[in-house]
Parts: sequence; C-alpha cells; structure tokens
Amino acid sequence: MVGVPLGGVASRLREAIDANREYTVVRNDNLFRASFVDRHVFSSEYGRARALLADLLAEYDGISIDEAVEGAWTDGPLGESWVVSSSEPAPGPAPRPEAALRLLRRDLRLVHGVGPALESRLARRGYAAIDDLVWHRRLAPAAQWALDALDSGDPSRIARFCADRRGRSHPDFFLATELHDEAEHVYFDLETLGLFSRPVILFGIARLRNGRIEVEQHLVRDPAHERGALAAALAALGDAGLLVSFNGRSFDVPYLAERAAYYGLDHAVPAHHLDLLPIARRLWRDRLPDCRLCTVEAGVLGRERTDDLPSAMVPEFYTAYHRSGNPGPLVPILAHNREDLVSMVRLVARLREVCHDG
Amino acid sequence: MTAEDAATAIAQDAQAACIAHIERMPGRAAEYAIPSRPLPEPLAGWLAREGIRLYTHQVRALDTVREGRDLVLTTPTASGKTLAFTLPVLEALVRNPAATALYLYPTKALANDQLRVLLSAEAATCLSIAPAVYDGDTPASRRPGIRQRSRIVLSNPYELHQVLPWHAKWHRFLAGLQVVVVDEAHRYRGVFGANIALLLRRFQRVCRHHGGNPVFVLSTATLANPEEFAATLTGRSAVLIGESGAPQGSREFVLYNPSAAGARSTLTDAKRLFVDCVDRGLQTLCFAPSRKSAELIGAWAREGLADPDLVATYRAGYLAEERRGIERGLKEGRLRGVVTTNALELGIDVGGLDAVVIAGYPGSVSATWQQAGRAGRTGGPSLAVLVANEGPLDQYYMRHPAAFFGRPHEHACLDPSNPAVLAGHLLCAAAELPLTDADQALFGEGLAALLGPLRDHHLLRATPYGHVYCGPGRAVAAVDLAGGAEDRFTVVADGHLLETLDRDHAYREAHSGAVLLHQAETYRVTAMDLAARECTAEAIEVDYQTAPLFSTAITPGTPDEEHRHGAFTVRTGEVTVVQEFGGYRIRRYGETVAVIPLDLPPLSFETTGCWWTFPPGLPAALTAAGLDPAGALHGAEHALIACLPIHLLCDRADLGGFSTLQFSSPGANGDGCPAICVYDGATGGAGLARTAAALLPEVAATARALVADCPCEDGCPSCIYSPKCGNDNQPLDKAGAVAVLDELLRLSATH
Repeated sequence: MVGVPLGGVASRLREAIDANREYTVVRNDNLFRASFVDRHVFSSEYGRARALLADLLAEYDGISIDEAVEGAWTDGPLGESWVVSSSEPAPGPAPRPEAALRLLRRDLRLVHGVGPALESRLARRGYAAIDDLVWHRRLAPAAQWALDALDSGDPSRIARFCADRRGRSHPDFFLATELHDEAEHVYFDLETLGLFSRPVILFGIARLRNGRIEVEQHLVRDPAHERGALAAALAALGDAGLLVSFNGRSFDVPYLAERAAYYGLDHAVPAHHLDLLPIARRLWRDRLPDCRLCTVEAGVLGRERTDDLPSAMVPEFYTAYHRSGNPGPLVPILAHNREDLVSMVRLVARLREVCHDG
Repeated sequence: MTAEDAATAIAQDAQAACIAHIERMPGRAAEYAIPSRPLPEPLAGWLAREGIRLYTHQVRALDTVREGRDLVLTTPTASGKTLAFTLPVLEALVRNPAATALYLYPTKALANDQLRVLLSAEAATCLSIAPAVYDGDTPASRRPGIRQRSRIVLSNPYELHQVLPWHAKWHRFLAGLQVVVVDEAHRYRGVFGANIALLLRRFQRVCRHHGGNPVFVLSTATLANPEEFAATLTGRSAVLIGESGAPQGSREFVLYNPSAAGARSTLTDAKRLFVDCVDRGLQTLCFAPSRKSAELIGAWAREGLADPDLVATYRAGYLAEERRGIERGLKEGRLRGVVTTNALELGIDVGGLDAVVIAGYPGSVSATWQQAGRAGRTGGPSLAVLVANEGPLDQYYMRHPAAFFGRPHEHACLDPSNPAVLAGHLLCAAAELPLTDADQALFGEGLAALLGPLRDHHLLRATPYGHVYCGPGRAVAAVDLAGGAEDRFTVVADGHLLETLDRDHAYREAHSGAVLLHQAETYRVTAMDLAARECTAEAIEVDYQTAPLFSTAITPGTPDEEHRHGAFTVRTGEVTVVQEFGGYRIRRYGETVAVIPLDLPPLSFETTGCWWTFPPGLPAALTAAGLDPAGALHGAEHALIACLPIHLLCDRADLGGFSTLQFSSPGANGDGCPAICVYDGATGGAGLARTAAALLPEVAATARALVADCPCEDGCPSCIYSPKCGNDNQPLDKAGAVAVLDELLRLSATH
C-alpha cells in the first residue's frame, strides 16, 4: 500500500460528493426555468434555508439532541428507535362510504367496454347508473361483473377494480379508498439523505385516532439506528389497511424496499396504497405551477408553510447535524416532515369535498 | 495471386532498403478434441447441424468452466474465442433453468455485435435465453423486462457501475449467475484497470449477497503475464488457455521501414502498399493511426486506382447504416480495400481478408497482431505489412524483428491497492451493502487503512451491521472509471465542453496560450481558471504548436519493496513529484521560435515510483571518457521510458522520469549519488513503475539496443529525444546514454 496521505484522498472525495447536489437552484425564482429541471429550489427559498441553517447552528450550539428533539426510545422488532410523537385535531369531513359507493355506481365507464363516446350515447338514452345497464343486451354481463365488484363489500377489491378500470389518478379510485376503515389508514412520508442508495433519516407515520392526527416520527439519530427504525416502520406499514402517501409509489415505497435489501431484511410491499400525487396532478395540473406538496397546499388548501426547509435541502441539513453533532438542523426536518403528514390528511379531506361535490 | 507471391512482388518492387524483415510463418492444421462429457442435446445438435468441430482450446475452456474454475483465454484473433466461452455458458443455461450469465464488453458496439451472435445461437438451439444488451441506450420501458427475463445480459463496466446500487432489483439474475465473461480484458489496465478490478470486486460481493457464485472467464490479447493479470483484475486465480487448436494459414509478415530510404512518409508508403495489394487482387484492409490519416490514405488510394469504387474509408463516427454497408461490401467481396481507424480493430466480423497494411506501429505488439489477424481468417494464406513511423518503438522493432515475432514481452499492469482509486469504490461498496471485516479479503489491506479517514470525513459511519455510506451525494457519481474523477479540468470552447483533463494534463496541454488539438481541429487556450478548474479555448487556425517547459523534483518516501538484480538494487515506493512550470515554447516546423513565461503554482502529487542509484564514481568516469554525465543520465532515462511500452502495456505518456547527478534521499541509501527515477503519471500509481522495477535489466537491454542501433549521430526522436521532455531535450548525450545503460547492465549481471 502506497503511503499516499489518506486524509487527503478522503477530503477530495468529500469535496466531490458535496459538490454533487441533487437539485438545481432556480435563479430569480423563475417559474418558467423551474419547469425544465426535475428537482428545483427557488433561489429565495435557498437563501432563506441557508440563513436558517446558520441561525440554528448558533441557537443550538452546546444543546444536546435529547433536549432539542423531545422523544423516547421505543422498542421495535429489531431494536429501539427514537420516536418523536405529536398530535393535533383532524380536519373534517368524515368519510362517507355509502355516498362514495353511490357515486361509483353512477360511473358507466367502470363497465368494461364503455368508452367516452358510448358513455355519452348511453347517458342520452337514459342510462344513469351501472344498475340500468344490467338490462342492456350487449353490456349486461360486464355491468353485472362491475356490480359484483362494487357490491362485494371488500374495500380492497373495489379499490383494485376502480384502479384497473379508471387508473390510480382518477377520482373513482380515491372514492373507493373511502371504503377502508379510516382507523386503518397509515399516512407515510420518508426523509432521506438523497434520492437513492443512502440512509433514511426520518420515517414519518401518521394515523387518525378519535378525531385527532397522531404523528409518530422515527428519527435516525445515527445511521446505526436506521435498521431498527426501518424494521419498526415496515411493521407499521405491514399492518396498514390503506397506505396514504404523496409520491410514495415511485419514491418512498421503492426506497424502503431498497433499504430493506441493503440490510438483508424481508419486507412485504403494502397491498393498498393511495398515492395522492397523481390525483393532485390530474385535478390541478393546469392551475398550479408544479405539483410539489407545498405548492398544492398553498394553491388548494390555502396554507402557507411555516417552515423554511425545501424537501430537496433536507440532506444537507441532516449532513450539517451529522458532521457537527449540533442538533439544530434536525428541528426543521422534523417540522417539515410533520407538516407533510398533516397536509396529506388535509388534502384527503379536501379531495373528499371535490370528489363528492364536484 | 497468393499472399506469398504478393509479398515477393512487393519486396521486389519496393526499395530493398525499406524491407526491414520478412517473416514467413508456415500454416498450421486444426487440432480438434472431444469434450470429456458429451454436450447436452440442443448444443450437440446445433454444432452437428452447423458442421462445427471443437478445437482443443474450446474443449479445454468447456472442461475448465465445468470444473467451476476461472479461466483466461489468450488465443489469437479469429481462433474461435467467442464459441470457447459461449459454449460453457449455454451448457450451464441448458442444465439449470434458473442459470444466468453476464457478458462485459468495454464498448457498447462490441456488446451489440455479441448480441447478434447470441440471438442467432438462441434461434439455432431453440433455447429460451432472451439475451439483451443493458446499457445507457436501453430504453427505460425495456429495463424491467430484461431484469426479470433475460438469462444472458450484455453490458459494459460504466453501466455495471451505475446498476450495482440497484442490486435488489436484480435478485433473480444475480442469484442464478453462473458465468461472467470479461472480453477484451487487456483493455482494463492502468488506472482504468484498477477501477474495473474494484468494480468487479464490488460485483462479486453483491453476487454473493444474493447467493450467486459465478465463474469468471477472461479473454485477452497475448500478454507476458496473463495469469498474474487475471488474478489482479478479478482477485481470483485463473487457468490459462493460450494454445490455440484453430487452423492457421501461412502468413507473410513484412516489416517495412520508410525512413531507411531517407525522408519518406509513413502514410504515402502505406497508401502505395495498399494500392499495390488491391491491384494484385488481394482484398486488403489498411489501418491508419487517426481519422484524418484514414481519410487521407483513402482519398489518395482512390486517385491511384482505376476503379475508385473498389475502396472505402471506415471509421468511428460514421452512421451505423454506412458502416453496415461497408461491412457487407467487404463480406460480399464488392469492396476490395478499406482504410480504417482502429474502430475495426475489435471483434466486428468482416470475414476473411487477404492482406493487412498497418500505417504506423499501433503502440503494442498485441494490438499489431490483432490488426494483422484480420487477414487470413478462413485459414488461407495472408499478408501483413507493418509500415514504421519515426517513433522509437517502430524503429526498435524494425531493427529487432526477433523481439516482435518472439515470445510476448508486454505485461498488463494495474494496481487496485491505489488508495486514490480504492477510496471511492469503498464508498460505492458501502452504499450497496454494509461494509464489513469480511470484505477485507476482497479489497485488501487498504480497506482497514481507509475506513478511519472516510469516517473522519463523515462519508462512512460505523454501525453494528458494518460501515454504512452516509455522504449527501451519490457515491457512484464520485467515481469516474476512466480515472482522476475528483481533480478534473474542463476545456470549454464557444460555450460547449471540448474535453476534460486531469490536472497534470491540464497544466501541460491547456495552460493559457497552449495550442490544443481536438479531433484534428486546433484551439488556443485563452484562460485557465485554477479555482474553477476550467480552461477557456477558442477555435483558431495556427501554424505552430506549443510545448511546456517544466522542471521536476522528486522526493522518494521510504521504499516498500526492493528488487535486487545482481549488484544492483531497484527500490519502489511512494514518491512525491513536484513540477514547476516556468513557461512554454512556441514551435513552428519543429523549431522553437519563442519562449513565453507562465505563472502557475507548482504541481504536486503523490504516486508510485521506482528508483536506483549508480556508484558515486560514475560521473568522473563519464567525464574522463569525454562524455557529459548529466546528458548521459538524461538520455538513459529517456531511452528507458521510451522502451517501457515494449515490456508493459502502456503509453510512454503514462510514465514520468527524473534523473540527477546528486540524488537526495534523506535516510535512504545512495544519498548524493547519480540516480534515475521512473514514476507512474497517475496519482497513487497504476502499477507500471512497480512492474518496471522487476523488469529493469530487460528494459535496459532493450533501451541499449534502441540507442546503440539508431543510425543518428547525436540522438533523435527515434531514440533519446522525448516529445514530453520539460527541459526541451537538454542536455542529452547519446554515447553517454549507452555508457550509462552498459553500466546498469554490467552491475545487474554482477553477482
């Protein structure tokens, strides 16, 4: 082994890795330019976040992580994880499964063989619901098949049926998920060190209990705890009747699968998953500049974020904590993740209004 | 007209002085063999239908893979290598329906060629293999299907590097992996080779995790050290299969030296020989050293022929359709001659040709044979002509044909322990699976030494499950397989990226004022921003070249290895190289017309070197003999480096040299003595200097012959002048260089 100064080798590598950011800062907050890049942070957001980071490092200097991030060690299947819990009132309205089913029965397109043109012809001839089509000579078998699915009483089968017929971005699929018991919904959002092949730093989970949103965040205080937190999160997801996420089908779930493989853990992909991103995109794509969760919140829910941390900058905040030991940068990561979870619950409530009342 | 007649005719036509040598190689009959156990029916039936009988080396390859042992195949071009490694792969796939195989090629084009071969084998054997290329060009929509269904995947190292972090998606493929074929493995040498060696170790680790335990089959050009090379590249020992059982037609090999008849040009003579061959009815391929020279020879040849449509030019950069057309033309015999760059050197099958003309030594004996091997594929007689350049290697082989036709001398070197390369791959490995103590067996001692610094820089974290990667960016993006990832300079012209260079090359070739050649266009560098690592250039027509002036100082570290050759000791170890760039020369038609000062900070890097000292009385003895001691040492250093590519597969630019009359090596032996040092140009070392230390007496003997046999009086570009010399080839003393090399040889022969 040659005696090349190994510290120099390591520091050059770190420099190269740090320079290799996975987002683009868009100058002058130019919306038009932002549309050309996959992951962007506007320069105003970037500036605010960097200033916040500096403030936090000063504010939390000398403060221990236990003080900064209140939580408790909780036992999981493969060891302890540090869980930060919080709670707040859930927004209305409650799910209306009967109304949702009625709406589904009125969508003739759920019948195999009915396309847009046939649908409008059928409507003109007075067919208002799938039930009417059981008298239609040609469509009767398909209509009966659709009714069998809708009448099955099995929320999973109904959701699968709607997803197959109308796609996962269609309001029908959203309506079908209303049939799942809300107590079994698990809202889910990961914060990670990057887009891929790096540790998860926070597993955010929210459930609805007695009219409140109960948030449970498994914080990876050190990568040594990732495996334990991962096992706890996989167990929580495995118990879910319905998993709710924003972009989870293409990001969070594959990311979990990859991390499970990294540690050689078995895992089962949750069977039922409501990803809100494709639905939001279908409904509001034309109204919003992009479909990031915070944009949807501002444009649809009328809520401005109180935290100043863009998702894409989470890795550099965690890295600042990791390298300095100063817990300050963790504070906005937890707040950001909690806001994401709560926003998803609110977004579901809003989608109910939209889907039921047009 | 047969090749033999053509060779005789050419010898008569040409100026006799130019024929340095004609080697007449008799043909050889095929040697067949039968596998120890019969092949399964689909394969045996396929071979029988095609009328294929297996050669001895193909059967040995089959039997070796059946025993579960790695192998390295070094049989010549056109000896049926592809079948030799494909047959055991297909057999494994027949015997086990879950079995899979990976073929790695250095380029996309080669993988695509091989795909055609495998598709036709699949059709002919009715096996269900679904072979597919998986590389940067594979559309996203096809990727999941290939991962789920293909049983043979063809790819390249760059793609493998990107794919490894996604190994969970490849579980089926990796769990069933039986054979990994690494074709053209000799290309994986130097820093590139070290990167590939570590990539292959990462790959083995991931395979093991998924339950796969494949055999590695390497195919390489002829080397002096095939087994050692294979062992370094894969970290496993391999069985050598070098004896070919394929038939070989008789071959005439002409070494042709234009400079022996005064000032003549390699290209014009190559063109004349090419036209002669085509005129005599031989289907001929002419290899040119660059795109531009290929176009020139092609254009001249068309002028010189009665029917210009008989010849065509072929090079990389042509559209696939044009290239296919030329390949078809050759196969069908419509085209009688093709001029090509080395784009055609590799596996692309154009059928048997009668003659090959090579304009300029291609840099290695194995590359020359690969080009010459394009003639006589069908076992008929063939002719090959190597037309020499002025360069030292060309001239050496012209004067020493036995070295060319004798046993192989070229060692392929790589050094996977180079920490500058290893560190990045450790990060990648830790991002793929936690890095544990068990991985030391794969990555070597460097693993333990690097964990600490990588932890200190917060790129790795120790956990109970092993070291976990936790840098904020992708680890694979921090590793450039071609080498020198972190410290690269970009050259930008008119807003677009021209090329990227490592710091060393940027200082020498892209300082402000430098004239830069890029794809035959000239550019002048207008600014060099060291902080941003960016050089700005403008396209400009100039009639001059530039060459940097720099001085080199070497500080050797503690030697970690000693090679004793008789009374002579060569030490290897870390060296710190510091180069001061004082300015650059402007050269017009080989004459220095101006020297312009440069303001650059010194360039400093650590690498591996080997060095040795001479007895302190040497300078006095040289002076007494009327020789210049400094020029003598300097000349010997240049000659040794010029000759290293005869013994190592490398370019002389991959090495640096240093000579001094007063060696300063604190604490080490030989302080104050005359000394020569040879070092790897790549940071951390590429394994060249280390191998050179072991081979020094052989290299010195070659260098002595090169210099002593050169007809020049005071040294020339064919012997002791170096195109990269930072001192403008001053001082040099040719007779002195011979005396120094004689002294080296005398000492190493003394016991």
